Amino acid sequence: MDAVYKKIKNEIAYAHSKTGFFRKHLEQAGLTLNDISEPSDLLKIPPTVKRNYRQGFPAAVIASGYNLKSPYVMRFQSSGTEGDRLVSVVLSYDLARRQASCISVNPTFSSLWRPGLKLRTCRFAAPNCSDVECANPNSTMESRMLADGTLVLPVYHDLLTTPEHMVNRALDEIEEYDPHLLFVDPTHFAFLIRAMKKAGRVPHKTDGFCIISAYTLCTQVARRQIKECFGDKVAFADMLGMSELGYIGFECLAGQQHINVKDYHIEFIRDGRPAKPGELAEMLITTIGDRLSPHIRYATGDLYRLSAEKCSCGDPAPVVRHEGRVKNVLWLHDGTLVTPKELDELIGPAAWIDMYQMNQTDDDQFTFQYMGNEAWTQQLENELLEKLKETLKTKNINCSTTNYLPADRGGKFMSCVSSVAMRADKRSLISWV
Amino acid sequence: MGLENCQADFPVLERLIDGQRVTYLDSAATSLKPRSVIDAMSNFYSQNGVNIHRGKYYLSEEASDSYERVRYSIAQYLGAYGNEIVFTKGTTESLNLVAYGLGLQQDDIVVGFLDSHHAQLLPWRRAANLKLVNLNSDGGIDLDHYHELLKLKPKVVVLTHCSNVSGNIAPIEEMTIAAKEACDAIVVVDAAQSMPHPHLRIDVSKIDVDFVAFSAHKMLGPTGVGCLYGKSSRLNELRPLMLGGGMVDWVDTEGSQERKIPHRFEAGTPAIASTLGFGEAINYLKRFGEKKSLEHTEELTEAIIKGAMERDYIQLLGTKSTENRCAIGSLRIKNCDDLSDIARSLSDSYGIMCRTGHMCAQPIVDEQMGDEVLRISAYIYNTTEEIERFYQSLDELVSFLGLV
Repeated sequence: MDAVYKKIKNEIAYAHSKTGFFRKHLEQAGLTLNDISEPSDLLKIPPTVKRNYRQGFPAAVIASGYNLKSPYVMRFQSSGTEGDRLVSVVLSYDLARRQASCISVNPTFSSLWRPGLKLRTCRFAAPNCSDVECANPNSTMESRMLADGTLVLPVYHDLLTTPEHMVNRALDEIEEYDPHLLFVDPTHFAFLIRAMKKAGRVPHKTDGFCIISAYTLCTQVARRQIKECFGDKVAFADMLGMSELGYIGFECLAGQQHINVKDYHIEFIRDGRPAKPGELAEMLITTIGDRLSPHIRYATGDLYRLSAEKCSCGDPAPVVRHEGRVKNVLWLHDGTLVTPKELDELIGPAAWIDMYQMNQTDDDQFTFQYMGNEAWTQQLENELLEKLKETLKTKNINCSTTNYLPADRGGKFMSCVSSVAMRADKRSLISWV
Repeated sequence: MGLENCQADFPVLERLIDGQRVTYLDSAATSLKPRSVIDAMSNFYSQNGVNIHRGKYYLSEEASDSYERVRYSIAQYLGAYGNEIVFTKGTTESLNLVAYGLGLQQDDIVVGFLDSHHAQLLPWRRAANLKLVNLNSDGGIDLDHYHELLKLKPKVVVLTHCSNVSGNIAPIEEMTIAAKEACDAIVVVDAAQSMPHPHLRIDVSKIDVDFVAFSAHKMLGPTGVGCLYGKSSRLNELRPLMLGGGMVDWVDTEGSQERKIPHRFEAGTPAIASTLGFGEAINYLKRFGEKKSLEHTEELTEAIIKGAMERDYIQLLGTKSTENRCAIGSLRIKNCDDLSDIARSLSDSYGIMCRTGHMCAQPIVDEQMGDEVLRISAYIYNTTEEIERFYQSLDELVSFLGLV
């Protein structure tokens, strides 16, 4: 038996024997463990989804023998996007192993694993991504310090309404805490950089620490601002992750996203079948060796394209491109899709844009709003608008500048939102979520 | 979808009263509600119906998310930030909140306007020393008098973007610049009559106003909910009008810590369903372009002015030009001491719903017309044919009532 398949089969057997949810899940599908006898049988198991884990938490999804007070159990609370919340648990050493597996593809981050290093991390992201209420005006550094030594920096739920005193406090705390790692939402961090420049301040340093981008799509305009501010000596990379599982993938030195296949069995599924390389598909994850809360064929609601090519960096981990959330894709009038990543590729690092949001308000109705800067020209805007019209195959695009783009209620900022993609009939065409 | 066929979206207009269709000409009082707005409210009660910002349970968070999304949507509509949008019961509460929250002294001067609504007169008169700008001989704002009063260095200038009686649209951008240059006065705008019209939308990122007040119910939304826009720096200085649950972070036996803006101004359980309807109303209005909105308003206004000018027995309040005017006509019927018979007959015999009285703006109505007026006010679902029919009906009525 293939060693990987054996591990997957063990995970399935463990989930079946130890969790009430998965046992019932297989029963409802009319399956027994004996029905899963070869790798292709995995496709018989109906994917599991977030609502199963929400509904089953904690009793039905935590393996028997564990509870929330068990040693090494870490609890995470995700507000999700559009209110699709979830409370989940993971063992701290599983989380650390997944993190290490992912980051190993990028040697510029190796300094974070120096023996004996007591890692200092600062996190700048939406409050609901941070497990603390960092938008509370009374919060102190002590009140925002997590058990693992991560300092959560103050920010408002609605990013662009973060007042100046909180921006300054965040910048002061970065200097004071002097982190080895800044773990940031890229849009949030680009905002902090703009506010820092506006206040006449400079980066606390431009060498000797690392920045990891996570939580939301790292738009090229956000990446440009971060790179311009911190230069090439600060290691910067984009991380793929989910609050319920931790690290899933990481960006290598060649700028490619590598997926972690040491700790997960990953499937890319389109129309119920394994996707071909390059084909847009939903990612399904099966954990390997998760003794606390195993996930089997967990439909992530994230769209990816798997590359058939080997990466020039030499790391053998499969290369993928994260295309965005199923709920955020743009549905064109002819039934084709434009993903948030494809949209971002179209916009590029645009030196004249600080932040943008595409909003599909209805079938064949789009609004593109952006925050411009001094590099803006009408010609640049016109050129982008023409490209958008061509790609979205419509003239119905309102394009305007703005000073304000709201964050999601959970605090995350989505660069691409679509009321059409939120419809159940559309989502079901490409996802189980 | 365009303005020309939007009547189909308003269920009330399908109704027959005593067998005849409704012609609604009282939109300055309140607008009709499109089906999508009604559905948004109904959907809340049938699918959710719980309180916001309190519970950690799914329904409460879902309701909170929907509620806050309306705030963001309004902010984007105005060019404001999300935390600059305060939900209130309506324009009146918004204006009272500012008038009492600024901490004015009785001898502080506030400059207001004769054509203002009572909600833009009474709170300021109680809070400070209110000076009113006159109208000029054409019935428009006397800007010379305004500039004279600015020399008194008022702390606050309270502008009415569009008069609910004359339909006159004030040049608020020019007036705001003058108020800031003269004495850096706080500028408060009553936009209740202008905000319903896409072509009159105020972009606060471009006009240096400090506060803007408006109501949902005049812009296709439900009653009982409105909005106060305030610059974040101004809101941070404003004292809340209402105290109670939902507006504090912390309370102990010694004191309390108020929440951040805008939540410190939203004590108690709000009109959740109505707010969701408000959001849908904004979505509905966004479908109409500014150009179409302006053209339609000008057509209706022209019909109102033309109809009044063609009849000797009618006196029309305000300017007689379609420029900078909304489709509002306040009419005096000569020799008529009691307009109630006319309003009742227009309703029961012709199906035309319009308003009589002082329109909550008694100073201007009494000064310009001597007594109560008959007011017609048209909106996106009205046609020029309806205005013409109103005047033809009026012709018949005044004849039968022996007034001409």
